Amino acid sequence: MFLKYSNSLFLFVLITTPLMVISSSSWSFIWMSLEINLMVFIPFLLSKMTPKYTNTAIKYFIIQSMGSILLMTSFIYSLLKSNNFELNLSNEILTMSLLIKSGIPPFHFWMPQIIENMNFTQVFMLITWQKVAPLFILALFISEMLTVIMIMSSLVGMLGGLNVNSTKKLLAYSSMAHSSWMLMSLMVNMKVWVSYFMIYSTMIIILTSSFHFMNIKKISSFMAINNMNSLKMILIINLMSMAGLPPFMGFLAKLSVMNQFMDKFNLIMISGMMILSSIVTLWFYMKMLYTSIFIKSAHPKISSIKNIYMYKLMMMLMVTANIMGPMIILFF
Amino acid sequence: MLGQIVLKKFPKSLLLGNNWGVGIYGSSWNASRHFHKSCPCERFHEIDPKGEWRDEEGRARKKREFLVGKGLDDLYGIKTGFKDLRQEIGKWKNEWKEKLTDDSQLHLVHGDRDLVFNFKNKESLEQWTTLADSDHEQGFSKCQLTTSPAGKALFQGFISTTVPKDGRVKKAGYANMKCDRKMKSFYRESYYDWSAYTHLVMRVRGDGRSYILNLSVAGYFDITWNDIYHYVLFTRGGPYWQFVKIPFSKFVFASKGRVQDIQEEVPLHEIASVGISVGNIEGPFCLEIDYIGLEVDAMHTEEHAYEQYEMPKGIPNS
Repeated sequence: MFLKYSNSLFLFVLITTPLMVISSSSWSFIWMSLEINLMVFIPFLLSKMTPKYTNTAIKYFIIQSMGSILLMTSFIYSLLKSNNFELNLSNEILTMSLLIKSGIPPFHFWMPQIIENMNFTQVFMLITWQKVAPLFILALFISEMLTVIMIMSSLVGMLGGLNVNSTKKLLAYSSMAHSSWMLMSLMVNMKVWVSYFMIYSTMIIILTSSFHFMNIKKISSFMAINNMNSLKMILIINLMSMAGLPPFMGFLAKLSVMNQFMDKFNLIMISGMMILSSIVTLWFYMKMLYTSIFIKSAHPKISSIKNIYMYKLMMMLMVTANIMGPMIILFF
Repeated sequence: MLGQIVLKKFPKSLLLGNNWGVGIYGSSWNASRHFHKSCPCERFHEIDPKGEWRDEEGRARKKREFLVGKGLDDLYGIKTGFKDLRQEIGKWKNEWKEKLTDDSQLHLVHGDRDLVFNFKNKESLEQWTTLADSDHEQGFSKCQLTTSPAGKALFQGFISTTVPKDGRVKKAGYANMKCDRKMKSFYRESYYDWSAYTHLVMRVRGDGRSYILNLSVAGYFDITWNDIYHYVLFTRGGPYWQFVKIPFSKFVFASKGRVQDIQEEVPLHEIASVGISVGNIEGPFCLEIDYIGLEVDAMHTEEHAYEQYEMPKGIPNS
């Protein structure tokens, strides 16, 4: 009983701290909010006191602390503005620290390891909400390094997700691929980033809730879903949206980012590389679809889920948004 | 010395000791008054994965003997380093090829069985190491892993429960065979990923003894170095082979041989090594193994066989 109250307290602070980062006006307040965010996420990870969750929490703490150390270093470096110090790396160090905190390549190695040992609620928070604060700060200090990071992120996300059986690891690599699009949108405009982020979060909510309710931990489990065609449809639509296929919302998000990026920078090669990597990431979403549509197990494991009506209603609303959203935006 | 200073300054009742004479200030402060029932633990931090049995002098001696025996010069390390580099780059390329092309785990269906260790020839035994209590001067048991007349792996030896008279050892008699840790290129430690499977299968021919199957899930942190999941392998004596199929949900979590209060399912994506142990009962033992493999059983929906109870807050590990 006590634990449940403390969980709601942690959740409240977890939701508030990125908002504190966004609304802060000094570096020290930003850093303090990031630290509180880290401290509050740790108990959120410890849903059960088992070795698996405690290991995850410790690893997450160590990585985020490293990011915080680099953040402080960049603040101190930025104060060294004298003629003797011509090489000012504060921007680069700041970028590195924020990339470590978000799990964006090339500082992503901790993410698939940690995400494997989390439950889907924690995965959702890690790949969406925990990215708000670092990416917001990155938006204020765009450096040329970000272009390279963007390409690296899309390549790593693309290559890492190949032949991965675990759905959680797949979500980790998918988030790296989508992070590259988020970085692209950051370079354009804050508003574009916010809209892309909201669309991505919607898609991830649908996906993680579906995986949670149906207990899908492996891709091969998709073939064990039987007699639940409406739920399969929800997953199919969402996966195609994540992959960026028209006419779904995911496609619209990528299209708007690409359009505005080309208008502002006119970098054809980079845009081309992003689209090509998007095609490869499409492959691993299609892999899930293929398994659920075309392969049927003779021994179905998943034939009913808890709170199915509530889940169906929620998912129908979200999927409707996925389909109707682009139409509304395009016509109005 | 710290223990003596502490003993003089603070009354004994305030010191966090226990019946085994082990306290946070080390066991030396009260060694003569208490009867040690377990191995004294003088450190919280584990320095070596081998624990109490690291032999730094022995390792340094073996290294010297190796270098002197080969007649090698000072540039040996550099020369072999370049050769190693070429080999490791080759391994790294193969890893990527496998990653990009091997999707066998994605299409596993009910009934699929894959052999991980197939003991069909002598080379298959090279990745296994045997250990007995006599190797650590803790007893007199012997064991060896050879090829049987049928061409399979034969783990045999003698368990001796005679306790050596050194005042440290209280109980003796064990033997173990364990596979080497899976390594990636550039000597990076890796894990076996068995998350697509539900059962461990073996074809064995035993002598009627019970053996223990060990799945080591040694992690990055030192407190996880000795985390092992155990299950008993009951064998029938006799000339017939037996096929054993054990679900991963039945394995019990223990650390350094002590079964833990908090149990959870085996993290099948982080299996460091597999082992088979035997002990406790004096006498010869003999276990012939054809293969150790994995099976997918879609009808097996149990994730973990041992229910957990929610303990009230305030109790450790709750």
